[in-house]
Amino acid sequence: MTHLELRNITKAFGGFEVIRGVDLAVNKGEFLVFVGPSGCGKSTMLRMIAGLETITGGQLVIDGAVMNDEAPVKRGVAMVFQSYALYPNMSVRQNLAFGLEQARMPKPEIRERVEAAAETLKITPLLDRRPGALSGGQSQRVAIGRAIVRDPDLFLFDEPLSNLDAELRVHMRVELKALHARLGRTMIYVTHDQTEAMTMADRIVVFRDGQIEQIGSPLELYNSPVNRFVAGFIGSPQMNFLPLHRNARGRLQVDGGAELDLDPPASGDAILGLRPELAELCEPGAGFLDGRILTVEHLGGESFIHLQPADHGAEPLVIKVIGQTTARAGDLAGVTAPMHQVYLFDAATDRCLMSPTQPSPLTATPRRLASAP
Amino acid sequence: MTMMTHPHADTLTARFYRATRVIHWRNWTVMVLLGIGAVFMLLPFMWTFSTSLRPISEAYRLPPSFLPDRLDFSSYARLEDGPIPFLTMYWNSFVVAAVTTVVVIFTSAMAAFAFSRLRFPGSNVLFASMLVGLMVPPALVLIPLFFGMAAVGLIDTLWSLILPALANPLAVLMMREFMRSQPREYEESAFVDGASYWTIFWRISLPQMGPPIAALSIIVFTTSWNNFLLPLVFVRSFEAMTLPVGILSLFGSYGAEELSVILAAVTLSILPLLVVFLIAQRFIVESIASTGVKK
Repeated sequence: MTHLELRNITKAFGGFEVIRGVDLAVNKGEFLVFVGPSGCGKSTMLRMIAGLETITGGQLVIDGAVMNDEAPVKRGVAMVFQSYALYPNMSVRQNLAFGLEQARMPKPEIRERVEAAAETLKITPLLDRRPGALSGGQSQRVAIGRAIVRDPDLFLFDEPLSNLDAELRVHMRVELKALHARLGRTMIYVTHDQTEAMTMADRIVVFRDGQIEQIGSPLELYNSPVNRFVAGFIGSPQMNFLPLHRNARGRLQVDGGAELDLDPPASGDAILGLRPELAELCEPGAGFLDGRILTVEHLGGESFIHLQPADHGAEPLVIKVIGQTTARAGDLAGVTAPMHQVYLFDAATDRCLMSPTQPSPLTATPRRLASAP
Repeated sequence: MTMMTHPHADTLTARFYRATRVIHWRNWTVMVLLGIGAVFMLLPFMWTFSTSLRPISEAYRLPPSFLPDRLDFSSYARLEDGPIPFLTMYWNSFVVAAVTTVVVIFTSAMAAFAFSRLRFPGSNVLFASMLVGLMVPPALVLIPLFFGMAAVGLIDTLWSLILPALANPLAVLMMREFMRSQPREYEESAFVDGASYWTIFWRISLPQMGPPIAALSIIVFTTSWNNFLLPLVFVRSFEAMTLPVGILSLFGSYGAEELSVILAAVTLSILPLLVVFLIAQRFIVESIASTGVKK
């Protein structure tokens, strides 16, 4: 069931369009993540849903009613800000109660709700403290508490974990996901961190330049990105991109490397997309590209090998190896990969021409390679 | 710290302590210079205070003595019996300064809230035109203001001193700049929580404006307390007179031979400023200490 619908939403700041026609339907109870690089419009989109920014064009529909000009309260939203925005002059208890007081809820009910929310988030001992006396993680919990105490239909999170240290971030990620499962409410979560997006989302919406590039489940985006931008954004470390050219035999060949054993698209040049975890090191000359190892990052359980292709203009490649490696900086090595696991992008349009979920291009039956969006 | 020994002379620690000694030495120089400056600043006050406590004959003695031989409060006693109603003027000054300060701070905080947090058409033009008021010297508007006051029958009342001081572009400017430096998320969060603009202003914005409020309290109160021009022009009777003009008329009727009485009046007129300054300054320090804690 659709909870929230964006119909051709646009937003302009003084003639400059930051949101350029966004269409999106959010299901009831869904955990949706807006992801994209900074300045892509994802936060603006969230603030428009919250009612903090006016909507220049299009319709914002919540539960079937157009809400373009309604106050945030009427929209049934609560928002958690990146900076937490805990009122510094009020205790945690007063912070939690503030929204309920605005709704003119009776005092006993407010106390009950505040205490229940504090219990849920394990912040009961902090209720009489001021925000200044809280740690980052505690402030984060209070900020979330201030949202859940109002029991809204729609939660909006604007990069809520970006001010926490790495360990706490992982912890809060799990807790937020558990909270979502418990409350069953619709949540829209903005982040620029693709790991957060991948781990938390039911569906991810990838934004670029004020437009939606792709919507899908985390694995859909990982397996079948519609273009090079989505492919590069989803997955960590980032996908490697190798420019290819069409050689005299009409086959695709890595610039400064060997010919690839796959069926080329009908025409034009292409770009090879190679996930770091699917690339492999081999003897120099045995793969489709040779290079010199720049650095090796040992993480213990896995290693990242940075390799500079012999063609010096090219970007260094990252190869992820499970476990530990004997490769050392300065070594010469070749790169190879199973051809049914690589991606192919159109060099001119960046569109994805081939991705691993599609039938292997090595099969005898010719298949349509293009996956037009 | 200086007793600390270390096997290596040129460690970071050793260098650090040598560096702090240099800083100490510089600090002392600064302290001495500031101390000399402070003495020069304080001497007139001390002379005023001590002269108010002794007969005038002692005040001009050479070499000067800054402490009276014996404390003589008779000059203070004579103030109220003198040619001017000193206590009435004192009260007038206080009422004018206090009302002006409270109203200016309140209205300028509201204006700052509107200018920094609300988006409405023409807000920039409105703000700019308000700032124009800063460029007009007060003496320039004195005559139009006088006729205005006369027309509504407020000449020779305290209102003629309070009302013109309530429009204070500097206060709005200071408050607005402070608010702009504060994160908007507090107000936005309250807005999403369903609070009205008034609630947001009263419960969220205003409590955070301690530093500019404290600074403005000092500025507005002092300016109003010391205002000479407005009472000189707008007030004729002693009943609505304030201290600056009152003390001058005291000087006119007593002359130099009763300097001790005049200086007693001056001493008393300084006291409220000291009180306001001490309260506000403490508040400035406190609010900086409470907001400056970064995690």
